[in-house]
Amino acid sequence: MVATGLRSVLWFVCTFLLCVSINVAHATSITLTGPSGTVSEGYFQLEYQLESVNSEGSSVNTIVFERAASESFDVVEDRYPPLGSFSQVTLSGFSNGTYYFRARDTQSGETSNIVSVTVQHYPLSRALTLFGLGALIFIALVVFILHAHSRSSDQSVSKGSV
Amino acid sequence: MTATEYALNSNVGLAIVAIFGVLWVVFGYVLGRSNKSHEDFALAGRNVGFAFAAATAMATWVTSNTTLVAPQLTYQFGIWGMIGYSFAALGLILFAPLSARIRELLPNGYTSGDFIRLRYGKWAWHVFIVISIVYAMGWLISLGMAGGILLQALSGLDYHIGMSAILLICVAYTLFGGLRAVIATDFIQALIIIIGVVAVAVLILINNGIEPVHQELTTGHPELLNWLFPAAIMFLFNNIFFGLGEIFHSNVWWSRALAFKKKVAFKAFLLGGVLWLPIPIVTGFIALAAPQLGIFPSSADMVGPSVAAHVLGTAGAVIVFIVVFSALASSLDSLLAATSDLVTRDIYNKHIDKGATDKKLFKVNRLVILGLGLLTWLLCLPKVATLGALLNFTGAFVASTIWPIVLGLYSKKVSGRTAALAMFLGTSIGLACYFMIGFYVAALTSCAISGLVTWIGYKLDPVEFNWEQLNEEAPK
Repeated sequence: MVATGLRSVLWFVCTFLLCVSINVAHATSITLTGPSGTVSEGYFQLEYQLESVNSEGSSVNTIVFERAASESFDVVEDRYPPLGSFSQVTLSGFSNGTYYFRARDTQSGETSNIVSVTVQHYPLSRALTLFGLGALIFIALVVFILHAHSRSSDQSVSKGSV
Repeated sequence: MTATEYALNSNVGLAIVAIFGVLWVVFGYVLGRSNKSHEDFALAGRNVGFAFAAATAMATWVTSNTTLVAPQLTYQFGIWGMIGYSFAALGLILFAPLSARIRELLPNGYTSGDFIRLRYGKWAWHVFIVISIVYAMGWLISLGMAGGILLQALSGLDYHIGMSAILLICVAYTLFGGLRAVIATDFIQALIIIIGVVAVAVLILINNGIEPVHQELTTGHPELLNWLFPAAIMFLFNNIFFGLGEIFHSNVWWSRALAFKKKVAFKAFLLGGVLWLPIPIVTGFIALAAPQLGIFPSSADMVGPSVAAHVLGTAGAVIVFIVVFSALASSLDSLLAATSDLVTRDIYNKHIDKGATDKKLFKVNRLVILGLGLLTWLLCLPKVATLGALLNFTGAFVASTIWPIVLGLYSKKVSGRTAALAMFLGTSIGLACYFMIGFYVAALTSCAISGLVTWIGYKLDPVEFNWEQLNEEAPK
């Protein structure tokens, strides 16, 4: 009875450890990292890293980044293959919102951890204020140069001044 | 969808670099044989005609900015990035009247530093030299990095090999030929650039069309088509002031204004600017095609050559490679020549050896070119930033010089104190904004603060400058 109990405990412990080790290997063999804070410009970089302990079956060229609207990844909305042997992609043009990304090995089907990226663009009022300020300074500069050039051309002997 | 392959074999990439490298160096050597004095070497005898002048103005401005950074900014900021970048042509166009004025005021001038020293005195000169050196090194590093990135994006060759190759070639032919070789190679490189860019644009439109690109951007990357993209709107005038600051202060452009024949400078810069205007539109457009083609670069500055090579195949990749390589070389050589002139004339001749003969200056100039090449190579080894971020860092510096230079050329009233303070405060606050807000406001705030200080100084601290003080004699 004691032996049976010990066997059960051992079986349970071994199974548990095996499960944990499989889960750890599965979860950490491809690690995805993304931008640390909120993205204000709509572009950002994602990077994956392969763990050496489990990288034999994963060719660098078979990794693809995937995007979904929810953390559960029920529907993959877009895929982004990296260029050549690079492990990063730079993505751009995203509107305000939260996006979920993962890296997937297209050969083994193995997937990475999920990274969420929140895009929150700068307020339009701030952008338009800077635009207006820039336009004002630019117009002042152009008017000054054209005015000064025409005056200096007229008074080239005296090297005219404004 | 699997990973995108490289368009060129790395050996083919290296072979192109070697062939063009030998061509440019031999060309520089042949042209350099007619340089008899430091003035010949630094300013091509002050006798450059209209065709060469317009070509060098356009070709020098087509650089990593237009071939790598314009697509990068289009990939990041969409249509505003593309159109906004083409407005950098305004720098060349507005420099046209300034160049005529420079030629008139400084008949014996050598560098932009000469003007600041004579017009504003030592304090403004100190601030200006720091700005010039930071900018020149930033641009040199970005060009060296661009060489490495180009080879890596197209052929997968190690970044350090491409970067070292382009630096070695440009240092060699600038060393042999001086500004004469730089302007002559610019002329050939300008022809290659125009033909190549037009070929790429036509082939992309024939092979790909616009509708699929528009469809993909609308669904997957909508902000790139948004006219009210906030960061892109902020970027627009920042880029214009960055371009103006680069051209108005840099000895690359002053040395050209002083090297061109007297009546040529105005027309040459105007035509150079008009020719340059459509180039970023073309190079930027190809970046918009990236998502539809399934090309997602590791860093945004690789997008231009990657897309072009992907669409056009191996033959197209060779064209792209030659065009971008020519563009990089035409800027790198100009910058090496102009910066070495600045160091030789403004630092060595005016502060270390005031009695240096023309022959001595000739020798020092060449040593400075070598030293600059070596320093650039060392600083390029760690690839610390993307090209756009690196270039825009220098925007905070150069935009602060716009108002002091423009007013200094036309008005007697602006004092040296005002100019020094305007450049110092403009740069400092521009840098603070670069780090606190983003790179797309650095040049704008720098120019705004500098302009405000210059205007206040103009009103409260006026002087009566004598223009004849600018007419300094050339070294014997």
